[in-house]
Amino acid sequence: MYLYLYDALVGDKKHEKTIVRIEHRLTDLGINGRIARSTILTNPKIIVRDAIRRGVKTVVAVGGDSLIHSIITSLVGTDAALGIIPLGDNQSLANILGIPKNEAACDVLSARKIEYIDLGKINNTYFLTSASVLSDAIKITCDGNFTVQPVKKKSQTSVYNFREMPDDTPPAYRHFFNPQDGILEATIEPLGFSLTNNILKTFGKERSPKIDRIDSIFPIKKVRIESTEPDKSIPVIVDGQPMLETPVTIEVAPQKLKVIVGKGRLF
Amino acid sequence: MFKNSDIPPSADTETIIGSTVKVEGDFVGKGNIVVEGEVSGSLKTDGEVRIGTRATINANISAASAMIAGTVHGNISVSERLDLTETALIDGDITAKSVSMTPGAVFNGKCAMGGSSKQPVQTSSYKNAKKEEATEDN
Repeated sequence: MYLYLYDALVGDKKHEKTIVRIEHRLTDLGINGRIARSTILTNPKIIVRDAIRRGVKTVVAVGGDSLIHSIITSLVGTDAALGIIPLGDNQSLANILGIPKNEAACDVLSARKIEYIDLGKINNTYFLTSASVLSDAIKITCDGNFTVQPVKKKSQTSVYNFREMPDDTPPAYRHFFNPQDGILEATIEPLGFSLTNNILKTFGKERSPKIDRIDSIFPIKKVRIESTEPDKSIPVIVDGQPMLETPVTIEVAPQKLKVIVGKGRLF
Repeated sequence: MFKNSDIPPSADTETIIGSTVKVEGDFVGKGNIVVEGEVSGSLKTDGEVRIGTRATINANISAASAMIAGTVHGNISVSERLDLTETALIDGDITAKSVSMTPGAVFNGKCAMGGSSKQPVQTSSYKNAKKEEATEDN
């Protein structure tokens, strides 16, 4: 039994024809199922939880990264697999899992190649890709044995489960950020501010800071991130959304999610 | 995305301690470690440790092999090979199966080699050795 959870963007006119093609392809492949829509009035977590309770074995997110992130916690600990039909922008998860765009994704769903992947767990919430803190005033304690503190200004500290790597990544770094290795990677990345950005800042049009390099990588199973300034909490961005504040404890949850992957997956 | 290090990591590098971080405590790893920042406490791994020119280590190091180009205040114990480059500064004792030392490296401490039970050989820096020679001549 399949549940197709449509992102709110599916209602956009520009996706109308693509959706029709996707639905036809799913019918041809014999894997059509119930359709539910994520809107501002519905909670995708509850939709997924209810569907799994009713016997759904495959939950297919039709949309982008944010829809997928919002339903992860509902899939953990169940026998249901996550499938993806990428639609619209922000498709880094689909890229990592090797899912092609639009109706081509239906064939990957039909082939049903299943992999079990790790998740990160921050306090009591699961995440797929990363948790990040944009501050230098932090201390991280890794596996209870040692602490790491940034010593330079303007850096980002992140804990990754997996991450899309550019094509020019040196071979020495390609084994990092594997979602099936049972470990997370804590990274410290100084943020680069270009001359162009400084000029844009003068005119109030500053771009987001660009991460120009990874400085440090620590493989860890459990990490605590806390502020070094007393009584000050720092926002933690989880899977791209500001969600929690320091202090937080992050640990790996091995083999926690069942996903349908394509041949072009990056792990 | 990744910066250019003065010590390129090998393909199986597990940990990179960069120049913009300070690590304190007992670091225990299983693979190769590249250090370019500050480490205080202890550093232990089954693999290779590479200490870059900008690194400052105030810790005892235990590894299978090591390449030192930076500053180490602490004892170094490796089961295989230890390489000290011309920028290395070691203030502590060394235990290794074999040691290579490039001219310019500074080493103050005792050295035990070859995995034998021989008494460690007392060594001193080039400057101190010269001073001792001058004293003997007088």
